[in-house]
Amino acid sequence: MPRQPDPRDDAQLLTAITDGDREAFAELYRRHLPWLLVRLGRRCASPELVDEVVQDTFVAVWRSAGRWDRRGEVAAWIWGIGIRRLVDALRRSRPPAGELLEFAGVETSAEEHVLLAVQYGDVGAALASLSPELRAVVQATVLDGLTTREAARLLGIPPGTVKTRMMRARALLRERLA
Amino acid sequence: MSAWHLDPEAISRYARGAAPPELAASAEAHLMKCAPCRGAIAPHVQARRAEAIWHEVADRIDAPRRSRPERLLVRLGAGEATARLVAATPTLRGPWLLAVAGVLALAAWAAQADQRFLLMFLVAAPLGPLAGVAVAFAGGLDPTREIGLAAPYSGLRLLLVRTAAVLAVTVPIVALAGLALPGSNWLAAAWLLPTAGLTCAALALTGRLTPVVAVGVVATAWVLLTVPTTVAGRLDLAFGLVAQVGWLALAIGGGAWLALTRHTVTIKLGRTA
Amino acid sequence: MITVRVHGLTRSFGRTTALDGVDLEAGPGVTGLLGPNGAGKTTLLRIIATVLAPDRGEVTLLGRDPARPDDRTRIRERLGYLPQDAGFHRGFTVFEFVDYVAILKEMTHRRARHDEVRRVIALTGLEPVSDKRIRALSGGMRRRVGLAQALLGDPDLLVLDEPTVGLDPEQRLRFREMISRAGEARTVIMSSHQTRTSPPCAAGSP
Repeated sequence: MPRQPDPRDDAQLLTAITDGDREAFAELYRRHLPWLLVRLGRRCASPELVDEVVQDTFVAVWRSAGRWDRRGEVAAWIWGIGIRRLVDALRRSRPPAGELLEFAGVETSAEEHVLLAVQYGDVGAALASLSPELRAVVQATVLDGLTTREAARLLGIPPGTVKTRMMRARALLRERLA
Repeated sequence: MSAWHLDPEAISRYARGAAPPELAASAEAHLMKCAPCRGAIAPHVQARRAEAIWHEVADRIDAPRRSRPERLLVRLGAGEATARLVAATPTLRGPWLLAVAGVLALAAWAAQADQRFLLMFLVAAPLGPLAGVAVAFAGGLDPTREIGLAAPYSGLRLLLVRTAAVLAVTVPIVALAGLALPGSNWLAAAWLLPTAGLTCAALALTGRLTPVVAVGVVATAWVLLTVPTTVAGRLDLAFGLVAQVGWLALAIGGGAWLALTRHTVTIKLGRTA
Repeated sequence: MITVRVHGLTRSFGRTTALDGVDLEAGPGVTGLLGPNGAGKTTLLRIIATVLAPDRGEVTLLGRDPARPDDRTRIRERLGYLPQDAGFHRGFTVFEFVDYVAILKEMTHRRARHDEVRRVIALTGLEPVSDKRIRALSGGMRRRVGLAQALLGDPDLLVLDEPTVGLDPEQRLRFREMISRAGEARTVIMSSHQTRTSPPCAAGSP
């Protein structure tokens, strides 16, 4: 059934949500659930846990909409809430996988490696050339914006290891991009 | 960034979890800034899953907010039902707790002045938590008790949940008051095992007596034991090493009894018609 | 079909004998217990609600024996009870209180439980005050809250002790209507205050 697309941008939706506008909240949900589900799903092997975390996240969005600092993207704010909820949930009940290395990715062949490096540029290639452990740490801290401790919880390794791997990764990336 | 977007193939691979790491990394960085690409992921998510999550979210934001103690308990891992039962326990209310804290603070302060008050503190210390357990089940203070008795929720589970909650709150209060006592440290903790033993004994007795009476019996026995012995200077009889082992045995024994009789235990009603 | 059967029921408290060899049979519909205060109605209702055990006599509820723990739990799963002096926790709203009782009735799944709570609140016409604190409600509304919690889980046996006491005639009428609607599909046993001096007897009125 045809629905009029809501013309408001995310920031306006959040303002409306602060006033209790359920329609605005439903629209925000429609816009952001899919990518949040996929992105969190790549960091946790258990779909049930992901569903729960996503649920918690949107409830938190509804309740704390007024606390968005109006800087940056709403998506980034939502991600911040979601990834922290995931880290908390993993602290309480780890799905029985080992250390999280490959962010539910797929091993690529050598040719694909080269092709993708060409398509996505130098940084992509440098990142791809890192070992899985180093790459996972870089993605957790840089991409997901987690602190050392949070990254440690997400990946299932001690915080000290996170730090050493980050240092090694930085050194290697600096070398390769020099 | 220019008008670069993820092509449909990349989106599909990413959404399916089939994207290699650096593609995924680029995709995620891009999605943070690009609404149309975010929208392009929607067809790759199961509608049923999205609906199910939405229904849970809608229910939670419609339902009234849990009180703060409940939320804390749920975050600590207690089930929602348990948290609600604890929150509704009559003893865990500000005025009651303040009264207990006040009495004990007074006793501890008085102990600074006079050694005899120290002994009084030790005798009185287990009575605080015990009284809390009794009050949690006293008919007059739990208005929904009658309804609760007709509900299928296990009486024993309710007993244990509430007792654990009361102890978790009152024991630290007593312990804090105990820190203000003069003298050696062991004495300030000597009441802990007796409290455990007495509580388990009272719980074990709830098979035969109502909780209030069970606590009364146990508390009376405690006072009869400790008052004469401490007045006569024989602290070790109630608090010494051998005694502590005895209290521990009592705690374990009471707990074991409760575990063995758990299927037949029902909390008894004490009022007349 | 008889859902409640009581035979030779005797119960004393100290030296007072509240019930002495009482017999009762009831089936679907509303069964009223009439009698003056002190005639033992509350004791009988409490025994039927499995809250009190008799000294002597046989009790069969919904085909089960409440003296046996497992059967007792099964009975309670299909039972709704409104006691005479139903109290409420201070500070609970209507929704919170009914939800609390729903938890006691072992409805653990939150969304299903909330749906059920909303259903009984709607059934008793309490939607407008669902978020209000119970202590802020009138006596008639509070009685309705009591009835709502008794209806949770769609029980087969509903035990109501003096449900209309303290209500004005109009409220009493509305309450009676709700009760008789409830009685269409289940067994309702209720007591009512009477000034006639007669022993408690069952007056069936389906």
